[in-house]
Amino acid sequence: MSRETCLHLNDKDRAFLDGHFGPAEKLAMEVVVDVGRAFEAERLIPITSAHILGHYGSLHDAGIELLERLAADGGACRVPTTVDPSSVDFARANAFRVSSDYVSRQDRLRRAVERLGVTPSWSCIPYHSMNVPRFGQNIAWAESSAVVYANSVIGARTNRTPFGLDICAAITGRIPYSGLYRKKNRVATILFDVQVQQLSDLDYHTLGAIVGSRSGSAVPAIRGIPTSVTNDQLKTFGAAAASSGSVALFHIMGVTPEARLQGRFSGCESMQRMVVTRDDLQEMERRISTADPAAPVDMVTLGCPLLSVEELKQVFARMGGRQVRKDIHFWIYLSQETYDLAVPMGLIGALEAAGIWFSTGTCATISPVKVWGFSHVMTNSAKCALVVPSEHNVRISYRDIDTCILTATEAI
Amino acid sequence: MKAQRHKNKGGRNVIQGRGVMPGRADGFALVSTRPFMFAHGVDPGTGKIIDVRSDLLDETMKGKVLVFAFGKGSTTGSAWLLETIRQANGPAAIVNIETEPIIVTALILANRLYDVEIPLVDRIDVQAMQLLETDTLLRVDGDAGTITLLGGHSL
Repeated sequence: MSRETCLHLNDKDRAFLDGHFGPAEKLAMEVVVDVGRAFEAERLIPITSAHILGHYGSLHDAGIELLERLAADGGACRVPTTVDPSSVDFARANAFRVSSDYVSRQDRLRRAVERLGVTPSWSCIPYHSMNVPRFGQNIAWAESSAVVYANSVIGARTNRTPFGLDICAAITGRIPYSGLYRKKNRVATILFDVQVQQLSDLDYHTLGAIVGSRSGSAVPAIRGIPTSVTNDQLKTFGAAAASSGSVALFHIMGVTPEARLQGRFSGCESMQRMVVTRDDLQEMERRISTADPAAPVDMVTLGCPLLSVEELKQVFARMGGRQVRKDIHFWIYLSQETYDLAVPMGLIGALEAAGIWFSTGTCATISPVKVWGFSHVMTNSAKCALVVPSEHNVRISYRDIDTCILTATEAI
Repeated sequence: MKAQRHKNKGGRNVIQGRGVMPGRADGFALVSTRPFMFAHGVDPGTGKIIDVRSDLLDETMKGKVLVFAFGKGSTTGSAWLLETIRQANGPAAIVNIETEPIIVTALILANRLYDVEIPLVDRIDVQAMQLLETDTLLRVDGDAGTITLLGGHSL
């Protein structure tokens, strides 16, 4: 029984619970302690950073109520904390047809988040800058794609911190010592043998979806990935693995830091082993798409997770002077930071002139795209393809970036 | 801790698991055989399941004992479940093979913010899970960590 297990609290933890630091800190510590007891943690540990959720599309009014209450009660983050994308690009809300009621609710979240001392990064790729953990650090991050990247590619330690626990960990600077904070739980328990030559960008999304849907709660190890794999490919692989299942950590032999450590692959030969072939990739690729390929596409979107500057340069190179078709919307999502870098590079101006719409600090998955009434959306993101159909009641075509661009544009 | 099945003194069928969230609730089972996603998977305004990949698509979780092996999907899931509970469309109880912080955090916040108690029991074994069929009347006791089959199918 969970409540019989003993969670050891230190004097400062108890001072939080006693309200010594104020009512917001008290509530935050109560939530952290409740979660610790439920998962039979022996103690709480300090964290060095947090990354929280703050978009109205998922947080709803309950999310506003929690964050406003913590802010009104004087809560403040005790560790550097960033925030995931918003549901509204405030500068472009009108162009994207977001209702004023929806804007005002997201604005309440924005104000609460800022009052709590969170850096208003509004990005799902905080590990690119602003919030870069070191190997071995304990952090409390939400956003499943950022969690899997921090754990796997960097070797920091975090569970898939849910909404609610994220801000409570940020305010207390504490998290229960359980799950992936413990070394013993970071050992791979299922092995994927990738027997595919020349993995494309899209293949990394698709491979992520395969690994995520077949891993259950296991930590997957992956063999057969070339050391030339890029950080962007690892980002999209992880995002797909996290959204098709609940993968929070993977080890890629010869690539990720902990895969090199002794013990992480212990018993590798006796692990449950799954072979992934080109046929498996093609089958998963077909399964991710839900649309009739013959049906006309009315929207093409890139940027889930938000595109890096490198990915945006690829889009620019592939556009080759083409123009977005009049009957198709082509939207690309970036962090404000990436956008600000891309403006002086000439990328934004050229692509906007070609008819692409940019939006910053939000994405198609979490913004109210529904009002547009699209019925057929094309994307190169497995995560977007897996999440958007339910939320926006649309059919999805999941294609590589070249097909996305060729579909959305025409030669002039 | 291995889940065990046994008959209690009253002769009713009882499955023993681990009580994660306290409280006691009765309800008809709503069982998914696939990993379950609250984020973008439930309409908080109705409790209806909207995940197009769920085997429970268009069913409603309101007042039901929601049974599924594992959670999946986004860390926003706790907010979707919390909002569903805030709008009084949440499940009566939840039963998992192995639960996760996304679900537990939502139930903790429901308790702390809205004074709603939704029991959660996990660590039942796969065979016990198979006995829980949709529309079976269940009693979930989050303090004792037990699930009692009150009607319909017997063990």
